[in-house]
Amino acid sequence: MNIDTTLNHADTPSNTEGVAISVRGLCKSFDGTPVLKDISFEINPGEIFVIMGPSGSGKTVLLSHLIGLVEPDSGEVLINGMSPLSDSLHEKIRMAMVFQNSGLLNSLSVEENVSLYLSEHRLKPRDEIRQIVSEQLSHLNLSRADAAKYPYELSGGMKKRVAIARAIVMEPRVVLYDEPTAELDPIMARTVVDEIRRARALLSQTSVLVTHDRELAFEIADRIAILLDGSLERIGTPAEIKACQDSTCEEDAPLKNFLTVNYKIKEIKSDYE
Amino acid sequence: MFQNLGEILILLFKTLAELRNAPRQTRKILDQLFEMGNASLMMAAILSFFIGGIVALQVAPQMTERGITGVVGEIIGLAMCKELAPVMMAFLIIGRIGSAITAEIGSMKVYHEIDALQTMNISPVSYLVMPRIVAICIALPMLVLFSMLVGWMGGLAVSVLNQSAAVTVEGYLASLKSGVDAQEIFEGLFKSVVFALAIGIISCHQGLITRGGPRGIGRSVTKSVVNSITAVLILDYILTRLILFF
Repeated sequence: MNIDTTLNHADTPSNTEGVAISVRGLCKSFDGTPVLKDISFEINPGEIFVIMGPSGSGKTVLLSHLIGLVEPDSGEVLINGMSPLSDSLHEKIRMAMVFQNSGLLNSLSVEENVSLYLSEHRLKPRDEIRQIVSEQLSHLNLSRADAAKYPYELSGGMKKRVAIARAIVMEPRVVLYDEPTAELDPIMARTVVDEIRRARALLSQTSVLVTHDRELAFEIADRIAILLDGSLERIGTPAEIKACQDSTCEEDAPLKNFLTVNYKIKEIKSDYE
Repeated sequence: MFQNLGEILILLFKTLAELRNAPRQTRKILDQLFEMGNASLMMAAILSFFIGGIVALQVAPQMTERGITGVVGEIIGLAMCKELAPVMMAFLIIGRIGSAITAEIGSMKVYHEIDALQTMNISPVSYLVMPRIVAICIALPMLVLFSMLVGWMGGLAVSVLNQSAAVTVEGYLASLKSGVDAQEIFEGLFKSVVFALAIGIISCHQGLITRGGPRGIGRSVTKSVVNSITAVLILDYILTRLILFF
């Protein structure tokens, strides 16, 4: 199958200072089981790129490769031409990741978690850091009282919002979000989507989102990649991906199946609720 | 095993290289030091008092029988300085602190907290390992010094109160003073610094390589304790050999 991995500049915001991500022939296996199979694509500077796929299709592993937490078996990831495995990249380009389980440090309070990057690297005076953290928490509907709490005192949704706040205060040029709206009610999910957009508008961030949420993907994405069983099934604009749903072409059957099943489950869930 | 040894040595060198950042991590080091002292001091006092007492119980009647009660203080003093205090305090630190370090870092590894640190360009060695190693290298020698003193007191109490031993307070203290000098105390402290380094590095390394959820954390803690005890005993033999050689 031919997959169009080229960039559609007309659909994405132009930002010459943004960060481009290039993935070339990425393969990864765990204990002999292939998880990523020859993945290649490119992400435009300042683009919101959404990766969708069923559970176990390798989305989180792909995200971990993009930030250099995992070393590929073969192939490479390049962030503005540099490997995320090199220390020099992280000194030149700030990257942040919002983990599926939030990844908050349990020994630190919410405020300490959110300010961790700024305080550890001593980027700003203490009072200014406190001010920035307070503003960011309020953007995500977290109160001053919440700032003093520890992660084990928070609900899943609150943890997720703290993790997003922690990523955004870093003012990163690349942000990776792993299921940013999971465990959030629709209102909070909307707040998070607005925050992702606000951060992108302010900082020209390149954002990569992994999500199961079809509506979120179609709403926020500049382009969507569909990952099925470790292989890149399709990349396209939301309109192009939507069009596959109605396709009668045999080649589109797996993708159509994924999108339809995903949509039906969502319908059943909303009926039940 | 050899792969682990290599990884431990690499972690040790990385930690030593991060020592230049120790002044920036003073608060974390002090927090760790306070936790270590708080967790161990009472236990160290009880353990040391009874170790000194047990040695006195074994030695004092024998020496009395042979008419050489004047060496009881010296024997207990040297035993505490050279072997018992460093080794027993190392075991105490392994059980109370080493296992806790492995469990904490292991849990951070399993629940992606260490990944989160890496994504923020914060080195886990600088943020987690180095402060713990520095704290343990300060805490263990201090505990050993404390243990020596309490052990001597335990030995004194049991020697003097034991009916089958004809040891006096003055005789015990004179013997202790003549038999134990600064060099003996320094030997024990030197051993304790090496033990602390080994315990700290093994515990942190085992935490950092933890995989597989709560069961993985449990396995890591067990391995960390067993490996640390083995390392302390092997190092004790090597260090004793070296000290005797020089």
